[in-house]
Amino acid sequence: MSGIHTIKFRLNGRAVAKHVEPRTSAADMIRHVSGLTGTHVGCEHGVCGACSIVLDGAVVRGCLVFAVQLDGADVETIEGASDSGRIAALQAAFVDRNALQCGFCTPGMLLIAAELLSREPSPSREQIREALSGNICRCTGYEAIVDAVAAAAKVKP
Amino acid sequence: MKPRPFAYRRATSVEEACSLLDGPVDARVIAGGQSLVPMMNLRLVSPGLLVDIGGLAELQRVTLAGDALHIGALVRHRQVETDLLVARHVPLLASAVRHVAHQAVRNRGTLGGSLCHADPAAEFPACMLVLEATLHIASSGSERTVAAGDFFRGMFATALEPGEMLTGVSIPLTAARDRAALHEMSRRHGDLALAGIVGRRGQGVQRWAAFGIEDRAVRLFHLETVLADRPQAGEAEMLAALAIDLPSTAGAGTAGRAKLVIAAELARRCREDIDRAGVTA
Ligand SMILES: Cc1cc2nc3c(=O)[nH]c(=O)nc-3n(C[C@H](O)[C@H](O)[C@H](O)COP(=O)(O)OP(=O)(O)OC[C@H]3O[C@@H](n4cnc5c(N)ncnc54)[C@H](O)[C@@H]3O)c2cc1C
Ligand code: FES
Ligand code: FES
Repeated sequence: MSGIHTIKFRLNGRAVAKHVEPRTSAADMIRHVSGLTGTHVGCEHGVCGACSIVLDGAVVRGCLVFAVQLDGADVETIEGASDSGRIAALQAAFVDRNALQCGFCTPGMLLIAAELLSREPSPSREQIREALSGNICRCTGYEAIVDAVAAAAKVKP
Repeated sequence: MKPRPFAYRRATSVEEACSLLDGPVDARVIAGGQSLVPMMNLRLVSPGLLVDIGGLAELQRVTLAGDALHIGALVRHRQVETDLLVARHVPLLASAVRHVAHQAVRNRGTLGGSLCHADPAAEFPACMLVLEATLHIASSGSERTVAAGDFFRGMFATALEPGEMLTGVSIPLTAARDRAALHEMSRRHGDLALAGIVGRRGQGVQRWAAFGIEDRAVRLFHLETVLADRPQAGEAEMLAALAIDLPSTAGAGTAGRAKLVIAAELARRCREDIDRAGVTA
């Protein structure tokens, strides 16, 4: 019953097929099978946001989606977002403002911040805080991350 | 942690989902997975079969049906946030959803999932109580409806029987358009509420509910009576009514007493918003 499923989906723009057990999370499959280790795994119960991926255009928790559910989906990881250049302004602002230390939370922070800016190009600091509220950072104290997102919002065309 | 092994089936119709749920193994619906998967990862629950209803397009719609707004069980929190029909007809839900979890969780979590999960601290069950919603339930070969007031039975407990699933909710438009407000106290934005109150006032109607206080979302019948008689009842009177409506909290010593005081203050804020224009959260 809990046998292996074959799934086909798009990963960072490329069609891929994988064999997965139902209990494997999307985040674990992306890391261990696809070798894309920018998707981090922290709490494994939805609290920290380190495992963020973009599923059919929306940022979701990679630890709360099973890989088997990705059949037919379009998935983008931090590697894809970075390579495409779509988060370049945010990345530059994070570097400028020292908005990362260990970097564990950074992929999730970048993806959720990019989603915020796509919905709300000129967010208030309050809106930025609210958007980041589901992502935990144990290093920076958040202030620099909020600054970086605000700076990137200004840079955007 | 990782969940225990389980089997997985993706349902292609409500009928198929119900017949899978009816089988011999301990089967569970997975909708958005935002409450179920954490519980599976923590091994608080270990179903033998997950029936994924995520692909059922017919449950993802918001439609006007006569004098009610019908919201499909699979309508995601994000959709509640942005849907024009919800904004126009049930503004309370459109503003309440901003308290539900965080952006990434709202992108995936569903209204039906929130109601079936029945977390005592969740916002939507309490909203359904004050909006006097009707829940639509399907099982193999049959359908039934349950009033929101009869659906929530305790912590993580609902009126759903084995083999049944929720397909959607209907919210009467007259109730939906009344002035309403929701206030809650939580540690961080998007966290589950430590205490919350939602209220609605229409022509001669007061409907109030509390969440995050007792073991489930509860209607505040005594508070309703007090406010119907004296809309501007003072804090002491509201506290006395809340103590009757929330008996296990009232009996829980100093901590319970503190919660009642918080609840009274949240109710006062809701009333202030309703007096002003309604629909704030
Ligand atoms: C970090 C975090 C913070 C959160 N904060 C909040 C918050 O502040 N407020 C809040 O209300 N919620 C909060 N949640 C929970 C979130 O709103 C969930 O999305 C919601 O409770 C469940 O919806 P789901 O679609 O994800 O359901 P699932 O997780 O898929 O399912 C939940 C339960 O309901 C059952 N179920 C689901 N759909 C159906 C159906 N149609 N018929 C029968 N049974 C069904 C499942 O079998 C399961 O038992 C939070 C979650 C996380 C991870
Ligand atoms: S690992 Fe997914 S939210 Fe923490
Ligand atoms: S930089 Fe270390 S967790 Fe955020």
